[in-house]
Amino acid sequence: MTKLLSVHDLHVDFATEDGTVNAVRGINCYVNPGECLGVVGESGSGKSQTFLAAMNLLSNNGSARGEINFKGQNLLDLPLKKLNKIRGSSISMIFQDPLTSLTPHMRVVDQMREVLKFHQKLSGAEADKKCLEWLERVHIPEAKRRLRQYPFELSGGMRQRVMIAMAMLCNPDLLIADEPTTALDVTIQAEILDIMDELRREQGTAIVMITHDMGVVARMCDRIQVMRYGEYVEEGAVDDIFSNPQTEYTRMLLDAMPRIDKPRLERKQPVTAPSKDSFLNVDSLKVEFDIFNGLFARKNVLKAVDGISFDLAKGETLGVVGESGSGKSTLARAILRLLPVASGEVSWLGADLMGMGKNQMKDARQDLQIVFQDPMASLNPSMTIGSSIMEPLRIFAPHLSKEERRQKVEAMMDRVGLPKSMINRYPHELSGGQNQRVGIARAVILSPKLVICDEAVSALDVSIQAQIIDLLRDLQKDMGLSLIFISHDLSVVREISDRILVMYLGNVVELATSDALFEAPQHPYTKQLISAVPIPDPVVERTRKRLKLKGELSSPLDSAARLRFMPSKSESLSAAQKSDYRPKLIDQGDNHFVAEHDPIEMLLVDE
Amino acid sequence: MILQSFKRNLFKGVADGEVSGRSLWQEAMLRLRRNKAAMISSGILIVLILAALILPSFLPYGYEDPDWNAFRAPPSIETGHYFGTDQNGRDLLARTLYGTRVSLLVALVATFVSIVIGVSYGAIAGYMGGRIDQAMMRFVDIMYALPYILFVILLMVIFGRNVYLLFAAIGMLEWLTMARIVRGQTLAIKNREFIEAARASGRSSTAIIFRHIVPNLVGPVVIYAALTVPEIVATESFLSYLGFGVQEPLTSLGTLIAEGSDAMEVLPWLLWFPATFLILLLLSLLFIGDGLRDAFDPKDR
Repeated sequence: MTKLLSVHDLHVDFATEDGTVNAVRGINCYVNPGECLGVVGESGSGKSQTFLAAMNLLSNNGSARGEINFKGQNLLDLPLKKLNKIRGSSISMIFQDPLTSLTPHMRVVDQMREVLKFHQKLSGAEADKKCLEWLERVHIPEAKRRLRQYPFELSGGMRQRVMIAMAMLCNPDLLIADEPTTALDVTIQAEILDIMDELRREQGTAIVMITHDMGVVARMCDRIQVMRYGEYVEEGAVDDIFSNPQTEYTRMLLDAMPRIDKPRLERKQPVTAPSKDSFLNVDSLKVEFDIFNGLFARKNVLKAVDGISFDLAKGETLGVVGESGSGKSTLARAILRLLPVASGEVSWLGADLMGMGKNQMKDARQDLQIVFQDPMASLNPSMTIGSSIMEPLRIFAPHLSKEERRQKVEAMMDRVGLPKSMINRYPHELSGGQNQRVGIARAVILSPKLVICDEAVSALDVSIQAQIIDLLRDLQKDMGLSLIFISHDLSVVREISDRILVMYLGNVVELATSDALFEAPQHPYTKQLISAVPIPDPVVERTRKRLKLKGELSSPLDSAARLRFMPSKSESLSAAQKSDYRPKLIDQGDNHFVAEHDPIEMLLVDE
Repeated sequence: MILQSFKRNLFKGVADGEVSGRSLWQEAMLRLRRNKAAMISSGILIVLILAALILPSFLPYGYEDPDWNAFRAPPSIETGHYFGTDQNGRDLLARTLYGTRVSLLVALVATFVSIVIGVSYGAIAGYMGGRIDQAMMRFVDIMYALPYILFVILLMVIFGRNVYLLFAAIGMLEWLTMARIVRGQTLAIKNREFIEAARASGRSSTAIIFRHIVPNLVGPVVIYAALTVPEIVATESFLSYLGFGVQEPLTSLGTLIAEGSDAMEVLPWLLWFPATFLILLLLSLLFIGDGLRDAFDPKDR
């Protein structure tokens, strides 16, 4: 079979102020017509750069050597004018962030027309017809109206669909997708992957899927190419790689990947039902934001957290999952009083946390800590990591001498697996995983009772992610910490949590022990979430069926959206009642709580 | 992401063993050192400053003493008036050096005043937000709306001509822009997670502003300050030219240029020498400012 694209001994170098960085070192690979090649590797593996080089999209300080053959032409030698005929027409590309890859001031239709005009000399009604046709093919609802909209008016999933439609306009032979679903919620990810798969089957377009997510690969790809530090690791058919990886590195990648169907780690002794001796009790907590559209517009109230109640026992880990906009981070910040609370109570060790005065609150903070998502942003760039870790000691242990503090910091760094020699380094000199260790060290140096992890491992590579989770579990065992572990990634949450709380638009839809939730989910939304998560095992993945529910995750500003899982109720109530009605949480016994909903058969999309 | 990962690979080699790290500030200074225009300008600036400070004491003539033998003398090496003399027989070299000294002093004091007031004002307004921010920034707007020449003239009329008043007047005008810039930067920084982390660990607002926010403003503040200095030198020259600046026999570059331009046709050296000094001073300061901006904001990386 002739190969569509073949790369021979490709090198990509970047000239930086600290010398030359060899991002890609002698890569060979190929893509057959109509197949889906998965290119996997952790950040820094050069997987994106390989294909950016093919599109001549390297940043200015980058240079590529080698050969990239596409239909008998070496793309690296091609003059820009000829290359422009190929890019966007025979090869097209979609990127990770759909917002930044669409021009913000142009309507969808104008951006699409531009492509047609340049590559196919189409314009006017004919072009419009083609644009509409493609928007419909990527299943954009109300496609006609969408054509006239600007990118900012569309949701993330919708934008990515527009990107795909644009990429497919000229029937390319090859579609390069660089982490196309990483920035999207799982349910949206599932839909986008479905669309791409469908297009591949119908159009025969070959797809290069660049991703770090083995689940996505298992679901989509025929062949896999594994890369690390810009070098080739291994290549093979998807089933072979998953069932019988040849290299240590691939095995490690697969092992590190959390799986929603079977936890990677032995479960720790679960903390039994939350005892009534009070540790943390949250009672109908509400957080509201006033939204003003324009200068004189009417005030809108956004109910980010809309009456959430739960208890947490000492030493327990509560996982909080939900898609973006579900209010999980707001909940965390509200409990720590980093945000004003509209109503509701939080009691902490029996005391009313919300009613505490400034000094009391300061004392309470000693036991309440938080670890953030972006390890880089959560450290002060102008402070050495040593002084960042020392910061809580300065506040709560002023009696310690400088030397004592330093010793404590060093002991802590040792504990979280950072070499002591790094004490005077700055955050920008460390890797993401190391910075996250610094963040954790800072959070636990005072031996707090509760640590809230807000997407603490989401920005990290899978192997690092696994290490950080292990670290958190170890610390929890040693120090008896309670954890609230917030994440959009259900597989990760399953690994670490005793109980899991599923949020939808600021409400709890299901709260159950980890095993019960994953083995016997009750609420349709939970079921949908779980079914949308790709499993890193091609055999399992092929037989799984995804649930599709009616409607999209809508804005928390839309009060009727809360009744998405109760259409029967929604019909019987008046508009005013609708905005006040909250599905009640029903106790199913065994600490399993589920929000009221209609039977799932009523909610499924008819196919 | 890509950049970060490159960094990671880069530092992997040196991560072990090496004890002290490079702060962002130190990295910026390293970058500045590689900027030729900025380094040459710094050299010129240092020569100018040293000349203005040291040279006058080695000159045979003072800046205010007339040489009764040489009125309106053109520049010459034999007489020792290398830059010539003015209508009153005062040595122009001595006067130019003194003028440079005064101009630089005004610039440094006013810049210092503007940094101190502007940074604290802007950081407090930005961090506090809400009504406090509104009130503080509206005050800045009002101050902006006052035509500053009018402001200076009023001050001069009420308090009389006075060098210190000039310092104060210029400083009070310059901090407004600094406050705006700092406020904007603070707004961007205050939503970063490390500020939330500091709040979550119980830091007071004052500590957060001065320990976590202000140190991260170094970049923009240094850049703006470096660009403020030449602006103030120019402003001072302008005010002195109009006759609001320093008073005879003390002089500044602006005053000298004003006097020189009156006699431009007959005694051209009275204009050329101070003007050359001013241009050298402004250009080198501007190049340094530009270099700093590139060093702190390396978009090209």
